[in-house]
Amino acid sequence: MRFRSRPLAFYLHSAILTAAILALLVVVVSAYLTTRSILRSNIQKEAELLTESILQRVTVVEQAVVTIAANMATALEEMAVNDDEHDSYLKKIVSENPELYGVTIAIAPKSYEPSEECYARYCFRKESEIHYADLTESGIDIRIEDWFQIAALTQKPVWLEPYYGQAGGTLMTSYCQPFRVPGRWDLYGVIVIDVSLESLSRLVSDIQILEHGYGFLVTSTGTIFVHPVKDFIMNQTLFTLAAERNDAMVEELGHRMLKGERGHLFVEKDIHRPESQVSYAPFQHAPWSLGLVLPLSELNGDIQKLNQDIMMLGLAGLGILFLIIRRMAQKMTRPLVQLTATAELLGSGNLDVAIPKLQTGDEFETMSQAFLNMQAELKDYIQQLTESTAAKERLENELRIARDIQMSIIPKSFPAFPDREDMDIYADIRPAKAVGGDLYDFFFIDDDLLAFTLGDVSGKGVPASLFMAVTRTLFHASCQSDQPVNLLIEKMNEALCVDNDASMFVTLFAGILNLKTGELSYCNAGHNPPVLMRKGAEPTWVDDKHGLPLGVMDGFGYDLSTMIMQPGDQIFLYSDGVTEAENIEKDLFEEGRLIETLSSLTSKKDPETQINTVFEAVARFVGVAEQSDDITMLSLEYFGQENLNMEAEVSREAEFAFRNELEELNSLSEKLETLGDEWELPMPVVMNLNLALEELITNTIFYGIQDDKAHTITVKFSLAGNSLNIEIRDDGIEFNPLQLPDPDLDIEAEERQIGGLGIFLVKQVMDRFEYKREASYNIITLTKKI
Amino acid sequence: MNINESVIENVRLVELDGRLDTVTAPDFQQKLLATVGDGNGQYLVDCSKLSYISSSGLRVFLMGLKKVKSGGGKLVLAALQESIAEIFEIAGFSKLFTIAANKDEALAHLK
Repeated sequence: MRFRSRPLAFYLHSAILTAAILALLVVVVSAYLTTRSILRSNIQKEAELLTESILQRVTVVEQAVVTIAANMATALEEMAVNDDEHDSYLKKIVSENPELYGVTIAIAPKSYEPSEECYARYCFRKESEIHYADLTESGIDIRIEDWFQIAALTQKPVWLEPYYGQAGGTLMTSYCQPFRVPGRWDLYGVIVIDVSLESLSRLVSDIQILEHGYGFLVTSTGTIFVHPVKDFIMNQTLFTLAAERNDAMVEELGHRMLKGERGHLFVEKDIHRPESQVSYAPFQHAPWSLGLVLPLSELNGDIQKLNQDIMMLGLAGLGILFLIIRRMAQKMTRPLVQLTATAELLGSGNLDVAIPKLQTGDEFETMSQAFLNMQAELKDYIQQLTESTAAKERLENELRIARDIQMSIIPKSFPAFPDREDMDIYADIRPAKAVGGDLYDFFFIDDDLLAFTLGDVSGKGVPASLFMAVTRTLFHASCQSDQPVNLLIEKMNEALCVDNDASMFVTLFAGILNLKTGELSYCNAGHNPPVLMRKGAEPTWVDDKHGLPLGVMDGFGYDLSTMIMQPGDQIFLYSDGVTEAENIEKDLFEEGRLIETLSSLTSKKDPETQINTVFEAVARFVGVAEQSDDITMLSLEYFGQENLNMEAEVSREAEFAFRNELEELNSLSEKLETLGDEWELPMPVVMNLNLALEELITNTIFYGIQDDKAHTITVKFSLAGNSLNIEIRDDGIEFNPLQLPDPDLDIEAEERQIGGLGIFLVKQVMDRFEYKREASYNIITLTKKI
Repeated sequence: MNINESVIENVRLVELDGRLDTVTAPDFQQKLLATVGDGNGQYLVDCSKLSYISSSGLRVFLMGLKKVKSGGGKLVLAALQESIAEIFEIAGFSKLFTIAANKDEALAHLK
């Protein structure tokens, strides 16, 4: 079951860690970006400062040169043009300014005519000695020399492009300053100061910034004259480099520097160089520019190191976080797992399981407390349930017993009076619940008077059944006295009204039939009117003089009704469980269907058949719907006194004898046909006789007579009134065909037994079928009513 | 009793004429069971001329029906006289057998 807690821990882990990782990433990225920009701007500042400081130092020298030249120009304008004076002046300048290499004073006429008045006196230092030279010596016309011409013609000082001087060894530059020759307007004067660029060069090449940073210098044409790559010096300009390398950045740099701009340029990485930043600034005096190149990879190296450090720290932090979360998750899920296990045990019925007491001081503690409470309540509830179930079972048991008792007080054995031939009675009750509120009863008050009743107690269940028992007892008790039935009913009513707290009542029909005279006196206390079926007539209702149900009004006067029953008449009593039987469509059975059912019985309509037929009809009608009320019926058939005289008036008799051989059955049919003709018996009767006799004789031949001897089976017929009696007598072994079980008519063909059918048929077609054993004879008596 | 057998379309037809009692039942049993064979067909018993039946006869009918049912075939009885029908009813046989009012209806049933 452990896997159930993992999702929770897992969720915790993954959620928190994901958040932490995301946070870390954000930190790292922003740190990276921030540090990079900070470092870069720092480098820029540093570059700027460095540039400034270098240029400061350069400017000092520049400034010196410019100042000297300017002073000289001023001085020379006062001085006479005199070799010696110039020389000593020159010497003074050169020796006083050790940073200068050499100084020249040059004068030439403005016109281009060859002249001997060209004059250029050069004083320079060589090995700490002052030397002089005459630049016009070799026949050069100084007027066409750069160092003279530009300054003379523009009358502005000019810095010359660096050049290699001193026999090609040293990089130098010259500053040319024009001056006015005093008193001579036809002459140009130019002072030229030569200065070595060595120190400048060294200054710039000594620049150490980062590890691979360097400085470089370019002239006003972009010519590189200081650069770590010696090949470039005086050979390449920024533009030639740019063209060579097809590098737009370098070209751009060139343009900016030539414009004398100061600033920074970010240069992308390519095959010649790493990603770099170039800071540049112009000289103050000379038209040159200083550039500082800073490879950023070194910067990046630092940034990356920083990031790595952050990442490492971050991962370490994540690791610790993971461990912490794991710990916490375990701590949280452990009580959950415990409680889950407990819940399962509880659920499986083990109510006494020990619930872990969590004292974590948080929601888990609350939960475990809730579990404890639940356990206690469950136990309580189940206890109550058990008790109430036991009580219910006890009650149901008692109800069952009550029903058995109730059923036993009602007459249930039929035929009720087999010896009486003047009447036939049958009744049955099917209660809706275990105990019912319907009742019926019948008994002989004396030899001639038959009392019968059928009633319906209001309500169902135990109260109704108790009331029903009381009512029946009263009926029995009341009918003992020799009073008309309505007065008996009144007496019953009185008794029932007393102490009737529950206001129950019972509808009742009661009758007393005088079997000698056929007189029926009856009384109806609010009950359904019975059906009267006179012999040969349509059924009618016994529908008069309805009184109140019993138990309603004390002292109510009930009316007496009478009628005469003729032999063959039937009276049929029923409760409203019949007429108010409901099917699922909520249709009622109703009186109409009852009459229909009763009318449909034509051949066999004895009380038992009637009642069973109506039961079947109601059951078919109701279908799957539940039985809502008790269904009770009582049917009484009156035969009258004629039957009693049956034996006295035998009108006809006949006797046949048969051998115990099957072929004899052929003569049976012939004999019966003849008999039927003589006695004018109806065809169906003859057929029934034939059937009955064939079956019985066959049985006797097959089962009753066990030996090979010849036996005789005698059949005696006697007709008395409308009763045809048949006596079959044989001397076989004792054999009672009535003991054979009836076949089951409801099972499928495949399951029907082949035997047992014959005797069953005899029972059905004959009105009476009896067996007795007398001496060594089997005697079967049959009666068929015609 | 006379028993006539024939075939109409693919229905085996058996006509009964007379009384079916303990004496004549064995003969009917033999003929009917032979006709039915393994029960895998359509069978019609015309009872229009059957005037009497007892339990022995009913027994034979039942035997025949069991055979037909187990063989997957169909058996129909036709034109039972009123008294015969009543006996069938009493014995509960009217629930077991398919009974037609006349021969044509029975044939229609078997189609």
